[in-house]
Amino acid sequence: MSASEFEYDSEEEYASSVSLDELEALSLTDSVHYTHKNRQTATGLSMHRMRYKPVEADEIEGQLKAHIRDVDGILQIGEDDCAVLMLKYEWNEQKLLEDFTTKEPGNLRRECGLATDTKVVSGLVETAGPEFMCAICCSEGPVETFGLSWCDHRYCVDCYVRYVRGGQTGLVKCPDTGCRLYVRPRELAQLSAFDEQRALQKEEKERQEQRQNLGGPLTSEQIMAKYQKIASESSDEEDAEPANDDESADDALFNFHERHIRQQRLEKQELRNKVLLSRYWYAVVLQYTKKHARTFRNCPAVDCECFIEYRGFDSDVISSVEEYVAHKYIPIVQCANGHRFCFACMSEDHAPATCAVVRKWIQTCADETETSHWITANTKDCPKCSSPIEKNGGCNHMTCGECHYQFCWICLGDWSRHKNNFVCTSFDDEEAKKEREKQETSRVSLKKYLFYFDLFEIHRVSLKKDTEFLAKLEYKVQEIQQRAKVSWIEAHFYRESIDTLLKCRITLMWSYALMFYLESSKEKGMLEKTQSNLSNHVEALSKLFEVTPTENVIKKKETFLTKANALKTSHEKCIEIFMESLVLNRIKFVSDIE
Amino acid sequence: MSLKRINKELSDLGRDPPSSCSAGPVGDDLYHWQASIMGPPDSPYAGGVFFLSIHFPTDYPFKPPKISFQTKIYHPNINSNGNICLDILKDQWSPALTISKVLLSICSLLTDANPDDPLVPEIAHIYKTDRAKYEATAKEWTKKFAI
Repeated sequence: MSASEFEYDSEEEYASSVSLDELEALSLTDSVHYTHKNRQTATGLSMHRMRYKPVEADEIEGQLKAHIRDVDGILQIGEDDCAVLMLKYEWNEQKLLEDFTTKEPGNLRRECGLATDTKVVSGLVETAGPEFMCAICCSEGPVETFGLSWCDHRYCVDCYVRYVRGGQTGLVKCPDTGCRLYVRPRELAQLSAFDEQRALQKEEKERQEQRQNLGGPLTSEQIMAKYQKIASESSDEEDAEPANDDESADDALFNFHERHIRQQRLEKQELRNKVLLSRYWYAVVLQYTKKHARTFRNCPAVDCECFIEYRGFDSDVISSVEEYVAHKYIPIVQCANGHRFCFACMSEDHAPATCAVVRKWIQTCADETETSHWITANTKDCPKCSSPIEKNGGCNHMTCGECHYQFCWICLGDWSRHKNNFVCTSFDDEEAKKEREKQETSRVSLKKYLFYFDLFEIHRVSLKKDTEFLAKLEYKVQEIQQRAKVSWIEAHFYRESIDTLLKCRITLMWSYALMFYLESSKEKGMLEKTQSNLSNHVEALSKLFEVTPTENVIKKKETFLTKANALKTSHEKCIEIFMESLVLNRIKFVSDIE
Repeated sequence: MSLKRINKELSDLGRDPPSSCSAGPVGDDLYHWQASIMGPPDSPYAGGVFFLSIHFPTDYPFKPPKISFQTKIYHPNINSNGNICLDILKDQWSPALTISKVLLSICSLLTDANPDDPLVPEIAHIYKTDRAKYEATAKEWTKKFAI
């Protein structure tokens, strides 16, 4: 299910389930999402849902700037100084206002690393003469340097930029170890502007050089770059063509729109990376969100700079995420870039396994206890000294290598009772029976673990392969487009299908981990049926990907769509059924999972 | 860039060596140094010579060097692996700091331990409750491992 569907369905649902006041409280532009789609399950049970909003860094940045402005409205010391104070007080406005009124202003400023006299100075970037040497990189002048004019610790611009970029909190201290002053946003803006201008000049210079070199033979990289440019231009033209398949056109157009927005977001992120001042504000946002981790979570996906804002629950029964998780709910959220993760434990999507199951499963897989399981299942202990023995051939007359005790491998009884007869006669011996029963139980538990572990692994490996496939997809979709001479929109279903497949594999994978900890019951049998149903749909779609050669993909579009939709429905149903069983405590865990 | 800076620090150390410390590369690799610190006279470590290993990250000086004791030492802020708990080697690092300054800071850590932010809580506890016992043990360890 894509984010868009999420919104539509839930808004409608939402309107019918909450009071008008509540609706008004949320502004119209807010797009509130829910951890799961339906408030009511197919069987008519109502489920509690967590509300959240995917936000981007610049939205939070805007809010923080407004917050700083508000505080400065009271303090009247200038927004730049106010920003440093707020960062220093870790956004504790109350404490800051209190200290501001009780402490001597000069002292407060000194403590917080603000100069007592900060006239607005321009031209902080200066060219230093040959006598200058940067204390960071040891390069000598003449070179452009940057430093606060009120402490005059100067370093070369390159080092300063790198230093600011490495900052983690938004508080940028003057690099000098004895100096306690902070660089404010206003001064950073000068450094950032200089840095940007220099980057532009460099680009321009490179372009000029390229133009000059154009007469000469092209290198293979240049040819490749040129080819890619042409290829992308031609596909742009195809994009511009109107889609003629009106049945799925709306849907496809919407997905295209979605993709376009994501692309823009990535570009924005790249730009933010380039500009020093934006980098600085991102660090401020990070510091703020870390401080307010109950409300904001940074998407854990690599290089993703999106956030999730927690918006409470759609019922009064549950008041915190901890409580929600304790009720065995799984708050899976989706960031603006489409990454799905658990709001409680911050790991990737792991529904229908609860956070506790995930923790336990990872521990079980890593634990040595499973090795010892293997030992108990594949070896027998010497009845006298208890050293484990693996029989690797030979007759049943065993002699322990440790204590030299002689016993029978079959009945585990003393060998002397066999009277050197190689036929075991004491199989019904009470003692021997007990021995054997002990070994039997551990063998069953190991078999069970291996069974679920294998299934988990199969899907984990497939997931890895599918993800690799997804990475190559961009190229493959282009190929499909070019072969069939269709627009980007026409080929979009292919990407959508693989997305669905990946999501369902994750669910399936974790459902096996969950199963390991469940006690056998009628309910578990039902869950197994749901699981195998989902598994069938996953394999069907997976097979279709496998057997369809690239040139036939467009022809098979309908099949792809049907199978993917069937899988989607099955997935939604599966999640819902698992959740019902968990939340209503209809299934029991074998051991105390907490 | 980091190489230029490391070279500069090396020549500065040669020209103007700080009292009670010395440092230099182990072999041809300029990113791996060894340093020695003389136990400060007003501390239980007096008379001992403590060796440390220094590893420079490739993005030095933007990231702090990794410094650890190679000689065993009884100290609340230094554990049995030789790891040092010192703010300037972690979040308080500044690219304007040098090895020479860091070594001097470690020297002053030997004189004045910081038991309120301990790496080895047991030693910190003894340091706070039974100073004489702490000093005796520290002296004993110095005699055993550093002389």
